[in-house]
Amino acid sequence: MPFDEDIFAYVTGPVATGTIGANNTTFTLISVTAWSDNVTVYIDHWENGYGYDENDPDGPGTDEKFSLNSSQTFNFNSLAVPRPRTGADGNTYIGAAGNCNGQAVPVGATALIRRTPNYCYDGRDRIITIGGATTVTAAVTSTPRAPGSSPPLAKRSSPWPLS
Amino acid sequence: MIRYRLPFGENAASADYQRIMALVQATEDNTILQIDFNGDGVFDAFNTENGYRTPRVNPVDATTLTLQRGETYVLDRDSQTVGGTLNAGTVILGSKTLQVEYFYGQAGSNYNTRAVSAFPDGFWGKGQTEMSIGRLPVATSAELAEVIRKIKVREAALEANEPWVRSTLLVADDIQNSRRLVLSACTRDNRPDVRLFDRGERMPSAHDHRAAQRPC
Repeated sequence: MPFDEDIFAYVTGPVATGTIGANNTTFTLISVTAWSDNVTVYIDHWENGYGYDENDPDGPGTDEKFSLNSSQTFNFNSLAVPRPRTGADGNTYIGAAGNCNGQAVPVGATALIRRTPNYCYDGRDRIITIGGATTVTAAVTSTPRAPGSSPPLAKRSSPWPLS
Repeated sequence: MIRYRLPFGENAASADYQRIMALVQATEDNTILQIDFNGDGVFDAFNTENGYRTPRVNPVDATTLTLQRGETYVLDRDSQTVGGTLNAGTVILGSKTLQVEYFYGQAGSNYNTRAVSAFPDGFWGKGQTEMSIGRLPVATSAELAEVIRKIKVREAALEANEPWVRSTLLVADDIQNSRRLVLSACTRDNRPDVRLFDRGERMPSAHDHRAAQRPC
């Protein structure tokens, strides 16, 4: 997923009529739709470092695993992603203060692997799909909604091969 | 290598494009980012501060920035000169795969913002070789191993951005004028260095260039 929520605030700030505060949280929604049956979806959260191993996809580095059928959509959403997301260097995860504790799985989904419910569904997460094509989109807005008229932002993720 | 070219800019004189940013995200560790702001083929120095944690300040910092997987550089009007503009034709070059999103909108507007996923040059099959085809002029497996070794050395030098790998030396023999033409083309500053050498005159060797710390 492209860029984290701090960057969302940075890029939308200049075009907003209001001010997005340094601690404004965001509502982030990541939507995954499968084009065929039996598509496996792995979520690799960035908060604990990228751990997904394509040679051991169900191994200890995998954070979450789901299965989707044709036209089925799972909405991975976090209602209040804490900010800031990173430390002073702008890249290192801030730690537990940035967690989204007790995240629910998407409606209709059963997690095949879920090692923790406490990481946000947010920018910089990696989503790996196996077994068929998927469409992945994301939308972000600051919360509380619209300080002034700060805009929401939708983004579509482009696939890249694993390396 | 992967290259993006910004298709629109703040110089468009349109309210919809008053503020433009390119969100450049690495998908692999040790990805080297370079930027050519006016598309003239020369990669420019830019402000490498992230902007949202550390404000960008002049003078500019470097001509390259190394990103780790997941890290993002926000290319905007403050990247080249604080308070400048980000114009169409800006080239973004990565040593490895980059994910780029373009964000644009009207300053102080009511929801006039958009974000689109960018596609690199050659994504649709033009402007970039899709498959490299060539032959290695070797006669034995030992020669083949040596050529492959040299290719790997050069690729590693490219990754490390070593100056010697940007040099090209072309030699041509001019029989009619009894002179030997040597074209030493240095791509580092994009200015070919053409020199004529008389027959019998000693030409500088690659060793001489290295000893002089010259790229070509």
